[in-house]
Amino acid sequence: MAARFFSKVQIGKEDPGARGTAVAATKILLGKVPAVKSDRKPTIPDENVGIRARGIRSVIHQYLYTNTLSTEHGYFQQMPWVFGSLKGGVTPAEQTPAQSDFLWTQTPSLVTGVSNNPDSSTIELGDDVQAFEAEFAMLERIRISGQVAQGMEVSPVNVEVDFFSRQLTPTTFTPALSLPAAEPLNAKLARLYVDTAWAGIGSSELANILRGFDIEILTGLHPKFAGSGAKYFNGFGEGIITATANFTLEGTSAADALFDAQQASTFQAVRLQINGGAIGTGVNHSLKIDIGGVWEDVSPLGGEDRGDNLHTATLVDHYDSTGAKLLQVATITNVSSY
Amino acid sequence: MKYTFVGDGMGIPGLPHEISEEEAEQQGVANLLKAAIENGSYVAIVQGDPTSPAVEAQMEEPPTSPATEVQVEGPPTDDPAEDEKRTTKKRKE
Repeated sequence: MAARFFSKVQIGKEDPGARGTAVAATKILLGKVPAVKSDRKPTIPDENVGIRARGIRSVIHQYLYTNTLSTEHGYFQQMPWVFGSLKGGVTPAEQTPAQSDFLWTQTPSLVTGVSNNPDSSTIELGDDVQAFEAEFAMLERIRISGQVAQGMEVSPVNVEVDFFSRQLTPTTFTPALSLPAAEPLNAKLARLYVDTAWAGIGSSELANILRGFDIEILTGLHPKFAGSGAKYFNGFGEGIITATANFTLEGTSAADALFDAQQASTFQAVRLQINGGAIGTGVNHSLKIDIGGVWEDVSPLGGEDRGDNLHTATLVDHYDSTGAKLLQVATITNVSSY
Repeated sequence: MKYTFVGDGMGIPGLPHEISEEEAEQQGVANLLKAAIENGSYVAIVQGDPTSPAVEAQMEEPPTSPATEVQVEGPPTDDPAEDEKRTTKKRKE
């Protein structure tokens, strides 16, 4: 019986020294299972052989498996895996002795000669009839978005990732994995800070005006194909990292100051911070995403809700030579591995 | 033999946190329990072993408050106050 409720996604982090060697999964990823799709496409060569037909054979030359995983109600514990595509091999630092409140600093390096050593994973997905695995999976796009509900409804933070991987192989699920503990990311608890230098990031909160956010990070990771004995990709490349953030804000004078900053092309160091519950007697779960850049567009009256005017603002990143930064990500949660 | 969940997270879907092999067989999750034991998510509970996770948990439970029983000396009278006087509380042995 192929049932959607028996479907799942499981992930296992691969050995950085043996990327592409499939590993058993170690975690269940909460979320919905996407359509599985295929990793190859047969092509029928257009050949003339004296018959009224478009071709006589099919060929498959290369494999590449891509898909999107989405956790509509994102949770703190999944973020170290997500940001492992920005900076891999990170050892988290416990903030309070014996409280398992681990700080994951996964800010990617921007300088030459330093690899960010991004993590690769084996992803298992499917249902109770057929599972599939995709090895050498790396995230190429990370999207984190949320809307603050204007009532008692939920305000989830959606965490969506696009990944590429070598190929898709029918297999069986790694059995008997434990459900992860999941401290929810709550858009209602999201806070926005805007400063004019990296040195002061997180100092100036735009209090009580954040209605929604949508952050997209392109990791720059890409598969590299070269002649070899296999049809799948040989390795990966680390390209430029880009981050874009869209915000919806109450149309207050604080939001209007962003319009002035856009007009003057003033550098902005923007922090989105979401806090969660306390971890034992230690610090709280938290997620910080810092982006430096300029407001590409700020639109007063960009929206309206029950008579209240809303601003929409789009931040695009650029490297700031004073702070020598572009993007910072840090998560505190109660997992020390993924 | 009974087993208890010692892994990370909320537990393995389909397996109670404490289960015996017989119960797993009855519930059709014997293979799941076997895999969970193999990956270290479940360990056997050793009866009487204070270091066994489940036995430790039992030992940490506070003692239950002693129950009391009411003993009435003689048959009840028509006077409630008199009955009250003759009523004593005695700890259950």
